[in-house]
This record gives sequence, C-alpha cells and structure tokens, in this order.
Amino acid sequence: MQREEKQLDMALDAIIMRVNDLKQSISNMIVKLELEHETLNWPTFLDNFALMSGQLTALTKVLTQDKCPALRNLVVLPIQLSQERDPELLRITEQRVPQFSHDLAPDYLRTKLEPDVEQRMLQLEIKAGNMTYEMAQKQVSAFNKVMNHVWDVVSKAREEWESESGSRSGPQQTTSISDTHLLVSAISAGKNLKMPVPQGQAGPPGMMGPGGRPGVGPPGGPMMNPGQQMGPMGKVPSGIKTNIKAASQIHPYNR
Amino acid sequence: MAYSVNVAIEAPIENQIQEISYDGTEVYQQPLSMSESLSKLAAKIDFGKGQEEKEEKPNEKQEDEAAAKDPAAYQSSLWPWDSVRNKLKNALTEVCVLSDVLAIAKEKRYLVLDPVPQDPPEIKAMVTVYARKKALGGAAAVLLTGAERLRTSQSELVRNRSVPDFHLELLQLRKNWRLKKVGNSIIGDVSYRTAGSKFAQSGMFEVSKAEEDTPSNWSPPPPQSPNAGPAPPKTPSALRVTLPSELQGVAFIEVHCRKDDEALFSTTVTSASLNTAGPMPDMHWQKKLEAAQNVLFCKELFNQLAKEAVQLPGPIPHMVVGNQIVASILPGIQLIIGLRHSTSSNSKKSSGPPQQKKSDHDHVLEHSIHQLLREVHHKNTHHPFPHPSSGPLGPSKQRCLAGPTAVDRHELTEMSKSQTLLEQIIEQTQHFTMRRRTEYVLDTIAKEVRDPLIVSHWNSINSPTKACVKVNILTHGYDTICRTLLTIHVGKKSLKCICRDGSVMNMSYEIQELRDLLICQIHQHQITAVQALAKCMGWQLLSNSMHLGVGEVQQMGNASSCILASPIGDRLIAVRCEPQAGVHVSIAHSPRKDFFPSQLVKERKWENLGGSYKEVRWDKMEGKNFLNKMELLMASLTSSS
Amino acid sequence: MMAQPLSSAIDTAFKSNIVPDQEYLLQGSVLDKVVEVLLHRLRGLCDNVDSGPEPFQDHEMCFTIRTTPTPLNLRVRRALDHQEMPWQLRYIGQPEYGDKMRPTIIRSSIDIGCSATVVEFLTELGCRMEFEYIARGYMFRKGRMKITVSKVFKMNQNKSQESMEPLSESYLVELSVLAPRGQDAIAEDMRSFAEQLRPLVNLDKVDFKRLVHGPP
Repeated sequence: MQREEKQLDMALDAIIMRVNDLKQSISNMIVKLELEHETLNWPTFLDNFALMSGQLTALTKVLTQDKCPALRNLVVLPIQLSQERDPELLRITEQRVPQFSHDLAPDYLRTKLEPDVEQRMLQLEIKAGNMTYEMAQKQVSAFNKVMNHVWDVVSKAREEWESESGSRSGPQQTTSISDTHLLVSAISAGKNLKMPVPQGQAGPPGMMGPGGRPGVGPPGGPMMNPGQQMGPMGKVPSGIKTNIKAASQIHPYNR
Repeated sequence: MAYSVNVAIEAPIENQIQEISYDGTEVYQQPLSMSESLSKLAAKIDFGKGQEEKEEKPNEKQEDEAAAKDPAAYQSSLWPWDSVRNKLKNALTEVCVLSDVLAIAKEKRYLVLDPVPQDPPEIKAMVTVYARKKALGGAAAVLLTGAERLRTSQSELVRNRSVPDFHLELLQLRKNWRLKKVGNSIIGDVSYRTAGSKFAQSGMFEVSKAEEDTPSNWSPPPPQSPNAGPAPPKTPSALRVTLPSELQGVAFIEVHCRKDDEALFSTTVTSASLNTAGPMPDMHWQKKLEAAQNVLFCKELFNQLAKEAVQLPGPIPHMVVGNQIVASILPGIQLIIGLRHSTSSNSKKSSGPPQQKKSDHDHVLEHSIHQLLREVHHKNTHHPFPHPSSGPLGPSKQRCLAGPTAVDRHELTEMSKSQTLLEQIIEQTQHFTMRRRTEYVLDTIAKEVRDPLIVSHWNSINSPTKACVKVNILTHGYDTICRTLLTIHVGKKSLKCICRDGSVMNMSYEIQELRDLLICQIHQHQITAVQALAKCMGWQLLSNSMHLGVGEVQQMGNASSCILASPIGDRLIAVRCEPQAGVHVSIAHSPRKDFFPSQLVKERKWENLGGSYKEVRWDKMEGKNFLNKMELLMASLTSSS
Repeated sequence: MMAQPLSSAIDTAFKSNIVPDQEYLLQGSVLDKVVEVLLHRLRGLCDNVDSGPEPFQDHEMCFTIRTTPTPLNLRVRRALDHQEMPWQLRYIGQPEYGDKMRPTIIRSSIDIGCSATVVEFLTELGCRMEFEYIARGYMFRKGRMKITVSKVFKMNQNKSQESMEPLSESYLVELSVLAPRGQDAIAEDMRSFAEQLRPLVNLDKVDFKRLVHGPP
C-alpha cells in the first residue's frame, strides 16, 4: 500500500508538472496574441502550437508509463467542503480558488464535454454506428496497415538522413595529442632518439639504468650521465672509467 | 454534509465522461490521443478565416487609422485573432481546472483519489479511425499545398529562364575572380596583389544584380571597326559589374623606336585605329573585368617605368611627358613608350601625344615589357625556400652561400645590385636595334656583292640581349676549295666578330665598322681563294698581301693582292682586289720576250728577270665569276713544255 | 656605409632591430592517414598555389656542451636533398616566461650558415652529440610564416638511409616565424592562421619541458 501510494504520488507529481507547463505555454500564447498581434509572424505562431503539442505528448507519455497507476481506477472523492477562505488553497491554486465551497465543487468536478466537442463526438459516433461490425473491423485493419506502411517509409527515410549526416561530419580522429607530445619531446629533447647504451655498465649511483633515457634539454636537469654517447656518431663508449679518463685527456675543458 | 449523494464523480483527467445517464452510469469517451487533442486544439483555429482576415486586415487598419484612435478601433484590429484567442482562453480554463484539481487532490484535504474498481471501457475503433483519418487528412492537405506551391514556383523559374539565374552567374564569376562579401555588397579584386604586385591603386569592383528593366528591344550597336564583322548575339546577363572609372576602357602600352630626325606627325586618329572594339556598355562582365585588369597592369607598368626614368642617371636624361616616356637608346635613336588608354567617351584624339602609324608599334617589345613586370611580381612572391628547412625565409641561394664561402663586401654589394625595368628594356631595345642594323648591312652587302656569295645563318636560339650570326663567304662552284667563315656576336651596344684566322674584332655600334670589316673579308677571301686555286692548278704563290699599302687608298676596306707563278715559272700573274675599282689582273712573262741587249745590260741572262706586267681586260675574260676566270687564265697560261 | 668597420655595423644592425633573433612557434601533429588532406588544405591557404609544396629532407644533430653552468645546446642541420647548400648551426633558447597570455611560444633563435666542417669544429670545442634524427616532409609559406609538415625518422646504428624508422605514425606540423624582437603582432596572425587548420590539426603551444619532466 505504501508503495502504491508512493507511486501514485510520484505519478501525480509528474502529471502536475506537465500540466503546469502546458498551462504556462497556453497563457504565454494568449498574452502574445493580445499584446503583439501586430508584429506577430506566422512561424513564431506555429512554434507556439508546436510547443503545446509537444507538451501534450509529454503528458500522454507520463500517463502511459508503467509507473503510473491506472488512473481509471481512481476516483476523485470530495471529503470536505468549507465556506471559509483557505490561504493554503489560494497558494496551491495560484489565487484561483479561495475556498472549496459548494458552488465550486460541481464546476470543478464536472465531466461533461463542452457542447461543440460533444456535438462532434456525437457525429462521429453516428457515422461509426452505421457500419456493421465486420466492415468496421476491415476498415480498422486496412487503416492500420496503411498507417504502418507510412510509418515504415518515414522512419526508414529518417534513418537514412541521420546516418548520412552523421557519417559526413562524424568526428574523425585526425590528430593525436600523445603523438604530438612524442614528436615534440623527440625533436626538442631527444627522447627516444638516443642510441641505446650497451648493457652491463657499472657506474656511479647517480647514473640511470640502461633502460631509462632521460631527456637532456632543459637546464637544471639531472646530473649528466657519463655513460652517454660522446663525440661524433658511431663511437660506442667502452667503459665508464675509461671514458672519464679519455675525456680528461683529449678534452682539456672540464666536462 | 450529512448525506452523501451517490454521484459517481471522476477526475476529468483520463476519460472524459460523454454522458451521464440518469441512473448514474457514465458513458466514457475514448482517451484523447495525441492527434485528437492536437486536432482539437488546432480545430479551434479557423485557418481559412485567419487568411482572409489577414488580407482584410490592412484595409481594416486603414479604416482604423482613418477613424479616431479609440479603444474600439483597437479592439476591431484584434478581430482576426479573436476567435483564436477565445478558444485559447477556453483551453486555458480547462487546463487550469485540471491543475487545480490535481493540486487539491494531492493535498488530500478537500479531495482524495480513491481507488474504485471499474469496468474496462468499451473501445470504439471506428470512431477512433474516423477521427484520426480526419486529422491526418487535414495535416496531409497542408503539406501537399505547400509542396505544390514550391513545385509550381520551381517550374515557373525554369520556364522563364530568359535571364540566367543570378546565383549561377555568380558561381561562374567566382570561378575566375576572387570575391568576398562585405556588408550587403559583393566586392571583388582585379589587381595583381595576390600575384606579387605592390601597386597602390586598388582594383575593386562591385557585383550587383542587373536591373530588370533593360529594354527588350535592344539592338546590337553598329560595329565600330571595319573588320569587326557582325556583332555577336548578346544574352542579357543577370550580373552587373561596376568598375572604378579610372579602370574602365581598354589600354595598352605602345612601344616604338624612332630616329631623331623623323618628323612628328600630328594626325588625328579615331578609336578604329586602336584595333580593338571599344568597350560597349553591355559587354560581358568577363571581358570587362579582363580589360580592367589589363588597364591596371599597364598603369602599374607605366608608373614604374616613369619613376625609373626620372631617377635613372644616364648620358642623355630620359624625358617623361604626359603619357609618354622618351628614352635614348643609341645616339640618334629614341625609344618611345606610351600608355594608351581609351574609354568609350573619347573616340577622337586630337590632342595629346603625337600619333604614329599603328604599324610602328612593336609588339615584341611590348610583350617584353609585360614579361619584365610579371617577372618582378613573380620574384616578389616566389622567394626561395630555405634548405635545410630551419633556415630563415627570404635570402636567395647566393646569399645563403655567401656566409660560409667568405664572400667579401664588394661581392656582396655586387650581388645586391639589380637592374631596373627601364634599364632592361633599354638594353633589349639596344640589342634589337643592333640586330636590325646588322641584318641590314649583311643583306645589303649580299645584294651588292654578287661574286663571292655571302650567306648568313642566324642562330635560332638567342636571348633578348644576345644574338649570333654565322657569315659564310664562298664562291659558287669553288666552295670546297675555299670558304671564309665569320661569326658575329651581336650584343647590346657592340659587335664581336671572330674571323677565319681566329682574330677577334670588337666593334662599336657604328655599323660602318661592320661594313668595313666585311668588305675587307670579302677581298681577303678572293685572294685566299685564288691561292687555294693556284695550289690546285699547280701554280706557286710568290707573295701576297692582305692589306695592300700600295695604290689608291680605299674609302671602305682595303685592297688585297697576290702574285702567282706558273708551274714552270714562265708566267707570272699579279692579282689585285680592291673594293672601289674591282679586280685588276696583270700578266708577265718571265723570260722577257722583248729583251734586247743594250749598252748597259749586255748579257742574255738578264732576260730572266721578268718582263713588265700587262693588264688583262678582265671584263672580256671568259668565266662565270672571278675564280672561274682565274682558273681559265691560269689554265691558258700553263704551257706544257 | 662601405667604410664602416664591421663591428659597428653589427652593433647598428642589432640596435636597429633588424636582426631576426626571435622565433615564434606553434606545434601540432596530424595522423598519417589524413596528412594528404592537410597538405591539400595548406596548398590552398598558402602562397604560390601554382608551384606546389616544397619537399625537403633534413638531418639534424643536437650537440651539448657542458662547461657552462647550464648545458648549452646547439643544433646542426643539413639538407640531404640539396648537398650544395650550407649547413645550419642553430642556437635555440628557452621559451620566454609569462607565455600563458601569449598566443605562441616565443624563444630566441640564432641561425648561422656554415660549412660541413662544423661537426668537427664543435667536437673540438668539446661538444658531444646527444641525438640526431632525419626529418622528411614539405614546406609552405604564407607571408612571413613558414609551415612545415614532416615525419621524424630515427636513425639506426648503421646510419644508412634505408634503415630509418619513423618515430610515430604522425607527421609533425610546425608553424614558425623568425622575426626581430618586439614584433608581437605576428603572433596574432599566426594564431588566426592556426584556427583555419582546425579541426584537422591543433596547432598549439607545446611545452616540452613539462613533457619530459612530467608525470612518469
């Protein structure tokens, strides 16, 4: 019961929201008509109608949701009628209902259709009643077939359009940030470009392992790795100690 | 509320009750489908009424304005929308009620939603079908009318294609010219800015729609020049191109050389002599734009040349007068460069620069000038790329190499020097003049001198400032024995001749020097040929002299001579070739025939000293040409004994 | 001018701010499969549509000298397809600080043409070669801007041309201008040109220091 009640509440909330939206758009439209009737243009006018139609659709959707309990089964039952003004009531009905009184209830709770709508429905019923049941069934099925056919055609066309436009301007990957970084660090700092140092070199603890090739560009970087390649290309350094000795011999400048 | 009346009241949300029978049962209506509700709302609007009312609206408005401004007038102008407004108000009322009921029910104080089991409603399919059919029919009708309208407008457009579509023509225009949209107008550019020109004058033109009221009985204008023929049929264009006034019309650069002493004509010339159809106002936009571009190009060219003419120092300063530049090429020869611009307004030119006959205009030089400016433009944009690619853009290959190859300052300044347009064209004209003069001299000499044939071969590959001609001097019938070959290089202001013996003669622009040289060469050829012939005939050469110092001094060239002895030595022939008097041949017998011992000379042996020379009457001599005659003479004088 | 001594001429040149010693730079990359599209677009955007892109193949070596407190990097670049052109010795400084606001990287750059013996010279000076690579691609220009689209190859041990391997599957795109100091307006032009190449390639400031020392 609790769950059902909660469900009902939620459904009611949703419905109220949609109905309020619809109310808002209708009143907007009326205001627009009254105030801007000279400057109104047809597309804007149609837009408003489209908006209302959309809201009705939304309302219908809420109603047909599974979560929504069958509202057929609920009856609006008046519990209490009072004569005095109720500020709370005023608030929730936006100043329209000051009190829930005797003359209000029938008006608000009536279920009869408006005269012209009733007239039209009557006409349709008369027309429908003239047919026998089998003919009616045949007509109904033919109608359904035609509708389905049209629906198929339209949806197929829409799919084609959407896929075509989607494939044309689909976001293709044309540039990769990681590649950019790779290339820039390669040409600026020599990452991945240094000749691999032969394995098995002992060295001072400050030296990086053979696998790590640090970038050399920026100033204040880590201390120079004496195991790196020296001199013109092609010379493989023989050993650490030998290197240092050779360096001090050949190059008088302090490395 | 003591009693509760058994009235079944339902929320008007889902199924509106169609009818409440007196026993309390209710007949429900089908739930509102989307299309139904839309149709319900849309049906509240009478579109037809709205349309008509719209047309009536301006009339009504006028009436309203005519009437006093009162609230009644305000209300009546709302009239077309009144029905719509009322229906919307009704809808608003209903929706407000709905929202209020829901809100109150939610609050659960006055109303409560009570679950009551219900029978499932009867579904009347046909009613739904009919209602939906009607709604769909209405929507379909709207779409179809719209599509129909579009189709008819398209077909009308296609049928009335007498005037081509503005947009299609604009597309055509965009294929050839750069256009861009500035505000509401379309601006294009005819200048050569994008090709490297730095000329300040802008070449903007505007594109607009052609007016619709061009007269339909337009007749082709009479042809303006006799060889234009019938005017081509014109199709009216949807575009109109507006050019600035200084670029309208047709222009070209007129170039010709003339001698100082030629009289200046001052004839009047009509535009017919310009050999181009004057710009008709209805000329197709492409031609108009091309003509304007040409005008701009010619203006830039002339501007550049005039600037250089004023700044350039030269032995004889160049003059710029109005639309003409006068530059001196060689002493006595001047180059006139003029800018000719004709717009449709001035068809007769009676003032302005003096007119020369059209045939004087040198198309080749005009083309050269155009090419020079195009080259300048090209250099402005096509800077060489740096190799390796990290180098700066701009310096030429020479400059790049200048650093590492340690080029000195002098070389650097030399590298940066360049020739101005005017200098280049003057050089080209100088060469052109030299070449013409050389041709003239060769042709006249070839015509005058028949005996040795003078054959000149001009190289077909040459440059605007250098040409080369090979001159062959040979005698008909004896060309295997002797030919004299000369190569003449024609430069800008000088000639260089390489003679048969390898000596190089540098001559100035005075053409008489060339003539002199050629005449010398001809006579030398004769004597050399005689010597070669003598070798064939067995005669011996005793002596020769190419530039003879005895006898009359010749005005042009030099005399040459040789003395030949017969195989057995009994005859001597002395030949003298000179330009003025032609050929003199004399014969002598070696042992004198008329030797008589005298008082002084007693012995017989002195007869061997040789007799005096007797001249041969050369004009009576048999033979086709000089060498032929010589051959016959030598043959006749050769005795077998 | 001819009689001016050389040193004062150089001073005047530097003072009058005509020596281009600053480089404005934007970098990006584009994948191999779309590089044709990029070349086509650049061809249309840049100058000299008729002559087409200029191919180049360069070999660059980076030398370091460690006698100074901060190691000094010098680059030597030669054109493999134009053997007669001089080699280039180049010093590239650090990018200026405060370049968050600037549209491009600005760093000092000095280019000197030299002969092929520069490698020997640098070695004698005490420089050591850190790394080398080969760049092969196309060059474009627009006004003063130079755009290069190149593929970076790593050289193998045996140094032969065929045994190069590409470093990644992208082409490096660089937009650079060499200009004297104080001509910052060119940076805006570079930025707007770079906008025209989006979304094919995003030319941007890439701070390689952060990349190298960045999060492991």
